[in-house]
Amino acid sequence: MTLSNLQGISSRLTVPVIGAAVFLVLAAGFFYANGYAPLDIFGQILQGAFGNAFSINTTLTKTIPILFCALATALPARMGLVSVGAEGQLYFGALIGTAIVLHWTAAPLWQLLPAALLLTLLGGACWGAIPGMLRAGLGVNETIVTILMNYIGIQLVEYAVYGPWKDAGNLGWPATIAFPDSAKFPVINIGSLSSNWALPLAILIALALHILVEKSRWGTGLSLLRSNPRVAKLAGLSYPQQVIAIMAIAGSLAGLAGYVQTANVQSHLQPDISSGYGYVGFLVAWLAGQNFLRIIPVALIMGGLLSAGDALQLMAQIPFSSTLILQALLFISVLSVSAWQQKRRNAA
Amino acid sequence: MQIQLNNVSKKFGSVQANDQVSLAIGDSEVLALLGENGAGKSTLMKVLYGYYQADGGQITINGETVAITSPKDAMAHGIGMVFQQFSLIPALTVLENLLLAYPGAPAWHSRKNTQQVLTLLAEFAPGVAPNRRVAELSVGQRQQVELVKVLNQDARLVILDEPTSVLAPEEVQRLYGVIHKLVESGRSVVIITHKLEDVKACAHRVAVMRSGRLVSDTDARQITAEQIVALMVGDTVLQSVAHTRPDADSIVRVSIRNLHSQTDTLHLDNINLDIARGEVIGIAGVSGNGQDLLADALTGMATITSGEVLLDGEVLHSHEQAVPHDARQGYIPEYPLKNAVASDMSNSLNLALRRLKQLSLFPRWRELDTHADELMNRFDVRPRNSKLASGRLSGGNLQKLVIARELSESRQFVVACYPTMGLDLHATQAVYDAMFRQANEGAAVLWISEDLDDLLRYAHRIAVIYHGRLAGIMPAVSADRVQLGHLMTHGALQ
Amino acid sequence: MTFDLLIGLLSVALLTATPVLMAMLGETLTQRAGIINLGVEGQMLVGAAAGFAATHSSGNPWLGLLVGAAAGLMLSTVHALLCLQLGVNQIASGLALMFLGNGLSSYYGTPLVGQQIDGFTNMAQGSLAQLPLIGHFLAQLTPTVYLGFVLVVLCGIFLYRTQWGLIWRAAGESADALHMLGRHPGLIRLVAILIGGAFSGLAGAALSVDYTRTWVEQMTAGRGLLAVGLVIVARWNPWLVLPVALIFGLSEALSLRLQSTGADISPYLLGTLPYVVPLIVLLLSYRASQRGTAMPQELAGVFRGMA
Repeated sequence: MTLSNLQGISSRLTVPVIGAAVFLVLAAGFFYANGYAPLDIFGQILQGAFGNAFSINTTLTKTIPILFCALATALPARMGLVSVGAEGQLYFGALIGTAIVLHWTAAPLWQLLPAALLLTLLGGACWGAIPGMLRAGLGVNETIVTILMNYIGIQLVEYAVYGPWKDAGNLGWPATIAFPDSAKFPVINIGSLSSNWALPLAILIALALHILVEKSRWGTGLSLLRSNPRVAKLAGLSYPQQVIAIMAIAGSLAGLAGYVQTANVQSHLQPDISSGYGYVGFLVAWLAGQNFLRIIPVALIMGGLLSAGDALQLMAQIPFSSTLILQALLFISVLSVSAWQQKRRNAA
Repeated sequence: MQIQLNNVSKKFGSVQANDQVSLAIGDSEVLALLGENGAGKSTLMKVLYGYYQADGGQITINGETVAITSPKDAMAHGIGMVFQQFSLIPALTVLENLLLAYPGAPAWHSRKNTQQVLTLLAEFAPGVAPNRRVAELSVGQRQQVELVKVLNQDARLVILDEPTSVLAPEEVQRLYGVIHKLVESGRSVVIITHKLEDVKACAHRVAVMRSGRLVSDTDARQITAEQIVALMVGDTVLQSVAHTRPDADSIVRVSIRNLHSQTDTLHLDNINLDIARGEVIGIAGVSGNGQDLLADALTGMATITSGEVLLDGEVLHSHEQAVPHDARQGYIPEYPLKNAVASDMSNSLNLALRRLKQLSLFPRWRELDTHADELMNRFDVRPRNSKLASGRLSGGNLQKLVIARELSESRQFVVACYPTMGLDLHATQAVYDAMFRQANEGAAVLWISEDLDDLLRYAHRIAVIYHGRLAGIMPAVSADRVQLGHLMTHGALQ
Repeated sequence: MTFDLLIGLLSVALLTATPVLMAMLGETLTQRAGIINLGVEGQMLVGAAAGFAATHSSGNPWLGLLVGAAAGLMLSTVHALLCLQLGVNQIASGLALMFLGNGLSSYYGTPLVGQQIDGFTNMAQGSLAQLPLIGHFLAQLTPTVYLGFVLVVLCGIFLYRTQWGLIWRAAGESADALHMLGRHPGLIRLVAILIGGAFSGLAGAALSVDYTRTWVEQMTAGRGLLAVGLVIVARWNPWLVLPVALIFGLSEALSLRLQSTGADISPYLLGTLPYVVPLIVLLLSYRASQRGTAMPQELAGVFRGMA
């Protein structure tokens, strides 16, 4: 291990390590200022995230949509696009996937599930492609459009479940009929751990994207398009075409998150599919430096944080919104440290 | 006002831009500061103007040592500078730009109290209305407004940075007149230039810089043009440039038919031109008349609204199809850092750009590196690091990199847009050599340049672009500078 | 009959547009200095929560507006620290602010949910209501709407008629040019972010203290984002902020009107109107706004999406 190797590793570790340190200080400060003992709380968080089988399973459950949404953010980011639309794509994908479940309820697993997934992918792809087309054709900033479309997507789902798809048998509670087991991802049970096949699917997709983006000609093309769209033309790449394609793929990935939540976690399509997983996914992607390999463990940690948030609310009566603050503090810590490191590098 | 620069030194990274330079500027005189691109003349004046801080040496004014830490300090001492890249704000009007720079501007703007900044406008920028946006002005007019801005600050010394390089011959004469007027009113002028006509027309003294050092400082009447050139160039051995001759049979290689194109600010109207095999067509014109749009449209980088570009009889680019990555075409665009390379990607990648689509899905990156090393060797790109980000290369080396990519293979159609702008002699020669070698091997070359002398020396035919149209075309051997100048400023012959 | 209808629609539109208008003014000033702040949403939320809390405990709605503005200003310091001091990407920093503002307002606003306040005294008894013809219309508006008008005028005069406004605009066009003149664009941008924060906080307070007179988590529901987008439609010109904010206002007013008339359209579909209409207007005017010199040039890189 040469000196430059060590230096390389240490510089790459700086941001995560110092960033985590800054975050812990800020988080401790927040808890202390609100009359809680920070170390106590941190302990409870760890307990609520990974402390027992129930916590771990909750963590895994939350990791799935977070992971999909993180992938849906990181892929456009490799092209320089800042998409915050995973939340809306999640909702819309779920909406379209639900459509076939409602109409084909009696179909067997090997027919219904793939069909639902296909439609989910299409739905998410549409919701992602729209901001992509606007960016490609008109140059409209995709960040603003994707966030606004989040609100629209949520409204559309509310329309469906309060309106035409509402199950009368629910006694006024806005939701569709229950999803049959043939529409759900098959469950995986290993000992006391319980999850479903969407988890390995998400991990596989992350790995595949990692290899493609880091090592293939296509991935280099994305970096080129990000660096200089005009010069990319000289390589025969079309920025407009690639933008739409990437945003569509990203949208379909986030759509999958929506479907897993709807089918496996809630078993109905209902207004609150997501606890902001789109935004959490965005955060995870940034924290992981838009690296598809690193996204996997970071998504797991975030899943743990959210699972702990549930526990904190239940046990310590700390509002769930505290996790929102923690996430924001984490984001700010990592952004600051990484920018500070960049500044030091530029000055050298 | 007597200004003295004493042993001024300035280093940028590893480059010694100014090396112990001592220079005096006196009252009512015009000092021509000459040197090749990269000799350090602009840097020296920017130090005097407070834009840069010197590493060593000092500045004295009327015998007293002064500290000039910012342009504001310089202006307070009566030193003003008109830059090559102007510091006017295009979106604001002339009046607003002048108010912005005016030391005693009123806090509240009314029609009456803003008149004071306009007093010199009529004299030095005739025909420029105060409420026009600077974006609408021509390059020459912007330079005039810049001058008014500087004079408004009561400048006793006016530094002009390469003022004639962007002007048409007629405007250059007008500028000489202005310089005389300034001197007559008791001011001094330093004109930074690499053109000898500027010296002949108005300089009292001539100072020549080379590689960061002052190599000569004499009275203008006591030095000849040949001596000046020798001092500028030093003992550099110039690579000979491959001279070209068009094919005797003049088969048309590239045919441009009724080309129209449009962007927000520029337009091309009805361009018709035939370029023969092995022919070098030079395009002259005042900057801002559509040159970069022409280059982009001819290479498929800009949308063609109507018309077409034919190569060897088939359509290469048209409204329906644009093929910027066509292997038969080579393109040296303006501003290479922005337009020819992805600045944060490696030299290897930038060199392999044109072939990206032909690589396999999982390419052997090492092969690309080897190929890059070989090209960088051949074209003398320094530093020879294929993994370095191309944005870190200096201007001359970057352009050599671009040449290495675009002109190392045989092309049939070459478009070069201001390929030697800002380059020193060595890099310029390397670029010309590569371009004309292509012509020798049968390529049709379209070359847009700001340097009329080089165009007259090397091109076979010269055309003038004016307001997006080709105003005239003539063989270089019989071309008349005055005629060309007139075409450049008026778009038509006398 | 229809005249009354239109007047009613217009007054609702003005009432609902006012928070967006104030946020737009703040962001216009910020962007004119060369900084984009997507955190307006978060700043509005903390302003709404803080303003509501202040009015609830003091009974004074004006104090609520003031406290709201202060809260927005304090949150905006984070954006200034991240972007100006550390050089963090503006879009990322703005989003961080959005998350933080959301989290802080939700957390500290928990005890406020379900509380009620009185808001501004009804203008129907005032002297303005006595005016012929328009009196009836004016009486339906609240003091915050008038405050909005005043702010529009102040911003317009500042930007286009004062030396400081000129320098401010220059900061958004070319920081380089300002450096040459010996000025500090960084300082101007700091002030711009803080003022933008104050305006957004004020906007949020106007929403909770005046328009809805309640506090609910995430109550701004994207108004802050819309405001940032609509600044582009208004061509960064304070004088155009009012008509453009009315695009949002009228969409919302129309949506509410259709819901209350018992029309057969789902309220959720109607609820997409205030997002869809401004979005479409944004798209239609986007191309045009990129043309010419309306956009402050220092923003060019950010808007072309160089993340």
